[in-house]
Order: sequence, then structure tokens, then C-alpha cells
Amino acid sequence: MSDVLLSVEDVSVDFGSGSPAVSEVSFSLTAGEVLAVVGESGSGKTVTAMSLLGLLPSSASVTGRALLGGRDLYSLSLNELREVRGNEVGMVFQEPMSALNPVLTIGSQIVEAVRVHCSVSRAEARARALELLRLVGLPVERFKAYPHEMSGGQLQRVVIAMAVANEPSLLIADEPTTALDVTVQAEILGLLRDLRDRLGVAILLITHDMGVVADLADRVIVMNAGRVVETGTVRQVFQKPAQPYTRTLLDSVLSLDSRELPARAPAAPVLRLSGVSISYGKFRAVSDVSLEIGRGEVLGLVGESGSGKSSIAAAVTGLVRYSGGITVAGKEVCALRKADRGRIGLVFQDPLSSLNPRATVGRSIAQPLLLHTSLRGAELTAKVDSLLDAVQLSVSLRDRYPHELSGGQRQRVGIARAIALDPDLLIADEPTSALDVTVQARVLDLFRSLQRDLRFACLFISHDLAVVQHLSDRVAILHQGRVVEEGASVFAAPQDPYTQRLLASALTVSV
Amino acid sequence: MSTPVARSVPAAIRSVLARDRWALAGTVTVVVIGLVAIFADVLTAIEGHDPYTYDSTALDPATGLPAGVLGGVSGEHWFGVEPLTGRDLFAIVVHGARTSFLIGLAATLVSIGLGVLIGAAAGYLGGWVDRVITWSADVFLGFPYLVFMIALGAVVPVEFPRALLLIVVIGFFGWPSTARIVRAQVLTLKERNFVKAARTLGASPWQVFRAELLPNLWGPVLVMATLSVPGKVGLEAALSFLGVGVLPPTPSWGRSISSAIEWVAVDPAYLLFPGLALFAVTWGFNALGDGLRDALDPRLGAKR
Repeated sequence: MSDVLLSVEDVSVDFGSGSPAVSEVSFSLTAGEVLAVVGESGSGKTVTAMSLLGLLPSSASVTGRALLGGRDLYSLSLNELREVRGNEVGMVFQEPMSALNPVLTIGSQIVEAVRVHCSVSRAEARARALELLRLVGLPVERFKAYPHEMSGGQLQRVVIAMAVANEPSLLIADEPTTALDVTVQAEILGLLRDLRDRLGVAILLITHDMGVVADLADRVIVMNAGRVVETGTVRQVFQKPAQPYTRTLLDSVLSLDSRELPARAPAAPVLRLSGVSISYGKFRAVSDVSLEIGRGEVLGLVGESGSGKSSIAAAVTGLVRYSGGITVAGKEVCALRKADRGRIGLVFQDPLSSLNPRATVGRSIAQPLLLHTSLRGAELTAKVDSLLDAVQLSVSLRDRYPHELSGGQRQRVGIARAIALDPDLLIADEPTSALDVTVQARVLDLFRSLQRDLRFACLFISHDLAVVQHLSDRVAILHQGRVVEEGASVFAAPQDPYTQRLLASALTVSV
Repeated sequence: MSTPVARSVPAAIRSVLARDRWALAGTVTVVVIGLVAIFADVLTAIEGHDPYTYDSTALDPATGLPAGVLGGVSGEHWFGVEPLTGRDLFAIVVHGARTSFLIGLAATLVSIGLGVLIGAAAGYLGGWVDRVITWSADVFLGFPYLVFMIALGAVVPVEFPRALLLIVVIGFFGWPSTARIVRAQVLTLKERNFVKAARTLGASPWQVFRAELLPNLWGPVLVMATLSVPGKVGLEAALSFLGVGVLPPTPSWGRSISSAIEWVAVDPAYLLFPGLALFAVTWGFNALGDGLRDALDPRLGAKR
């Protein structure tokens, strides 16, 4: 370690809420190195990174030292800190859309980023901005584009261009690809790697995704509950994890392989889509999709954002209008009466938004029973308790509110509500993508055992190929509103070029 | 990146009273005047007067002004007496609190009730219902309602209970502002998955409103209600001031203030007491409402 660029020594951050958010974290970063900080939500990885640029709320008290080029970042005045931000340290955020001003062109925003720290003329700054656009692989015509005219991946390139505008020596990337699709994620990681090689910039990569770590990082720090659990090169940590927590974390990551899904006998279809198209005004989100799911079968519906997968879910649940035919247990969906609606269960992506914040857990689970059955009083409570038991939650949680629960617990409540009426069909729309890996693994296990016991047909929607492979009997790949490939052998022998690209972009943790 | 935790309404009220001294002072003011209104008969019985009996002995026979200093304040008449009639001012102010509270609270109830129902219908149902309601709200907000109320006061027969008329009219004209805020809230709530979950289960709009929307609307509704009470109390006083409010001899702060204006040069104390009472109620509800808003609206932040 000859030229240490950033050296973090015994940093603790306390928000005054009992236990510190970060305690005694130390690490160092050399020039041109990519250091990944991994951990689940609440591990303190983001807090540590934010503390370096003084971006924590004023209630936080920070102790320790963070030396960047010999200066302690924590002892800088606001003016000095402003000099460091954007100049010596660039920042890439998770949500590119919210990191950019929607009413200014991206060109003027890059020009602004250049001019904040360099006193150059408007023309020079403009030339530099065009150069930066080329550097991040965007066509120069996009200079006059507004953020809403660009895709998520392009916007993240703009954010990266702004972050490297003043040739910083350190780039902090906080979950830079989490909000992006798989194929776009691969491109952005390629760009970051390329920038490191060309500009020699060191990258502090904050992520929860082991695949991203394996793809980009040189060294890795594993954090849990505010402490550093393990440090080492990616190879060391992934192949021979020393700590049990690291091993659990790595074991929870689902791997994608090229095996064929086990064949099963076809059953009578519970859900049948024939020639379904969905349009929003002139925009056609889904065109001519035909699918079937038999009783007890799990169909994995895979697609990137904008592929129309959520539109299909909304159509099946009767939330949007469609043309073509959708039947559940032989009945057309748009003509379903209230009594039949209980035959469809629904599990949402974000468990916090899917539960009424002002209703107790028991009330939320009881809701479908109140609407569709005559269970009341003690009988209802008993049924709710048995559902809580089925999703492996303690009965004592019945009178709690959603904000008192963890993410995994909330999603279990969502599943309990969805299976309350013993549905024929369960629609799960990205049910685990908001969860940490270890939690995701446990929720998926629960989901599988419930599916085996209750034998409902399941439309499992996800962008995560590994999760889908783990759970599904059959897979359909959706691209731009069309099913491009379907069957049990999609992973083993992909036929369609898009499927091949999707599989190639998927990151694995094998090193 | 933690989402703001939805605090329950009673917990928010408790915390605001413990933390915010102005809100606490406002609450105490409102509660004290509320108790005065409820126990008006008891209080005036203790003092030994009622707001209706003329008493020329308390007046200066030469001028018709109250005998004694400060409008006749004495152990006998705590707030003095009314000029020309000699009616006890304490009894009038205390019974006037009844009128103000009754009309202010009942009209608020009417306007908030209408506003929540109409606003939620507009937000949740959308389409032409939303268009018609939004359009009507714009019309009502721009309507010269004071002129309308004055005209109505002149037309409606004297036998019709005045308090009821004021409650209905003031309450009715209050719905658009409530409906607008509720509509905006419902529009965001509608996109949350728990509402979608209820809809896909086949819950009717009324079931969704009762079980999913209403519990999430209590906070803003309570703040709106508290902040709109002083406006309603003031409107009642204004109408009574203009002579189209509650009819004499029912005591009303607005009418007392109106007649006190004519005497302000020679008997300023007559204006002072009803004026102070009106000020105290208005201030109290505003202070309480501001505190509640700080506590219930996560966007404003708890730190100050």
C-alpha cells in the first residue's frame, strides 16, 4: 500500500438513539482501487460514506478521522468541505432521476458542475461538458435533452459525467446500479471500470449486491450492525470467508445456472391469457401475449422495466383495461364478480406501501376475510392467528403496526393476507426485490413451502433471473410487451437473442 | 433512507402538548372557554345575573352610561353593564361563548364532514365525478358568500331557528377548501398498494373509504378542523356584527362588539370584554392547530 488516498480511522457515528449507527470502522483506499463496502440495510455502509462528505443530518455525532490527501475530512470548515465535494471527491447516487434537476437540460447541468469548481468561460465549460458526454459514452446530441427524455441507464451516465467533471481522485458510488435493469447494470459497471482504468480514479462502492462486488471491486469490506465484520480481497472473502456472517451472506445469494427446470405434468389451466394487449392512450405496453398457468404451477415472468410485466399483473387483477381474453378458473376477469375476486391473491413489491400504516397487522390480514367470509369475532382472530402461524410469524405481532415490523416481517404479513382466502391464483409482483439477501432467501423458502402445501397457481413476476429460476416451474421472458421466449429450458438453451443477452448480463458471485 | 413513521393521532397530540408550549397554552384557553360555555348558567348564577334582564339601577341616570369606573365593573357586575340597558356584561360574554362555540364547532363539523366525503369521492372515483366536484369547488371558493348570507338573513322568516341557519350556511360554504386538501391526499393514497390490494379483493368504494382511506386522513382532517374553527367563530361574529347573525336578545360577541363600537369613545370597557373573548378563542384554536400540524405533518419536520 504505497500511496494511500483515503484513510478512515476508528470512525463512529451516533444519532443519539442508544446504539451507534457505525462503530470503530477503519479502512484505507489506494489510488485507482475499487473498494466495496457491502452489508444489508442498517449495516451502516451508507452512513459511513455520507459522513465522508459531511452529508449526515446535524443530529449525528461523528468521531474518528478520515484523511484524504493528508487532510481530516471531519475537521474541515463548510467552505473547505465544499471545495472537496465535487472537486476531489465525486458522488454517484442510487436514483439518477432524483439526482438531476428535471427542468434543466443535462448539458447545462454538466456545465454547471464544471463551473462550480473551475473558473472557466462558458464556451470552455461547454467544450468540457461535450468531452465528458463522450467519455461516459453518450452521443453529444443528448446535450440538449431533458432528464425525462432519457432512460435510467443514460441518466446514470450523466450523473457519473458530473461526478468526474473535475477529475476527482475518489468517486463514492452509493448503490449505483440498484435502480437499473440487469442489462443496463452491466453497462454501467463496465463504464465505472473503464473510468477507473482511464482516469485512475479510486472508487468507494457502497452496495448490497454481491454480484456487483464480484464484478467490479478489488477489495471488499463486509459490514454488519455498524461494524466491520471482514476485510480482504474479493477473491479471499468470496472463496474463504472467515466469518460466519459473511458465509451466511454469500450463501443467501441465489446463483443462476444453466440447468433445465424439472419437468412436470401439465395440469388444467387456472389462468389463461390469450392474445392480451394493453394500451395506455397511444402507447402499447403489452401486445398479443398468450400464457397459461396450471394448478399448482409457478410461472416466472421475467422482464426489465418497461417490458409490460406489471401491466399484465394489473390486467389480471382487473386494475387496467385490456383487449383479448384473460380467464381465471374459466371466468373472464373483467366480468368477475366480487365473490370471485377472492380467488386471486396478490403480493406486492414494497411491503411497507402494501400495508395500511394505520391498521394493525391483524386487521390487514383479516381484511379479505371480512370482505368475503362471515367469520367474525373469536373465529376471525383464530383464523388470523393460524395465518400468522403459516407464515412463521409470532401471534404476538397481531396487534402491532407495520412500522414496528422489519421488512421481512412485513412481507410475511403481505403473504398471509394474500393466502387468507386460499386462492386459486397468486400474483407475486417482485415480492422480494425490496428485501435484503438473507431475508429474501428466507421469504423465498417460505413462499415455496406454502406453494407446495396450498398448491395455488402462481404468476411470479421478477427482474431477477436467479430468484425466478429458484422458484419457477416454467419461465416466460417478456421484452417490449411481447413474450420472446417461454418454457422450462430457457436457462439451459436460450434461443432468443434478447434472452441470451439477459443471461449474459446477469452477475454471479463465483470468482 | 427511512420512511417517516406514521404516528397515531392521540400520540401526536400528547407529544405536541408535552413539547410545544404555545400549543399547550392554546389548548388550555380553548378548554377553559369551552368549560365556561358549558357551565354558563352555573357561572351566571354564582354572579347572580342573567343576560336578559334590564337593570336601570346600574346606570348613570343622566347619560345612560354604566355607573362607576370601567363600564361599571364591581363585585356586583364583574365585567360591568351594557350602556342604556344595564344588562350584565359578564352574563352576556359567558352566554355569548355558548353561541360562538355551538355555531363554530357545529359549522366546522358540517364543513369538514362534507369536505371529506366530497373530496374523497373526487380523489378516489376520478373521472367526471372529479371534474364536476373540482369545478363546483372553484365556483364556491369564488362565490361572494358574505353577500349571499346577508341576503339570506333578510329573506329567511324569523321563526326559523337562527343558530341552525348559521350552522348550515357557514358549514356549507366551508366544504371546498377541505375537499381540495382531502382530494389531494386521496390521490396519493390511491396509488399506495394497500388501497390497490383492497380494490383487487373486490372492496367497494365505501369499504375502501372506511377501512383504508379514512384512518390515513384523520391527521390532516383534525389539523384542518382545528385551524378552521376560529374562521367559523369569526364569521358568526361578523354576521352578527352586520346584524344578520343570531337574533337579539340571544347573546353574541359579534353583536355586542357591533353595538360597543358606537360607545367606544365614552365606554371603551364595553368593547374590551367581548373583544378579548373573541380574540382568546381565535388565538387558542390557531395555536393548537399549528402545534398539531407540526406534529402530524412529517414534511414540516419535528425539529424547530
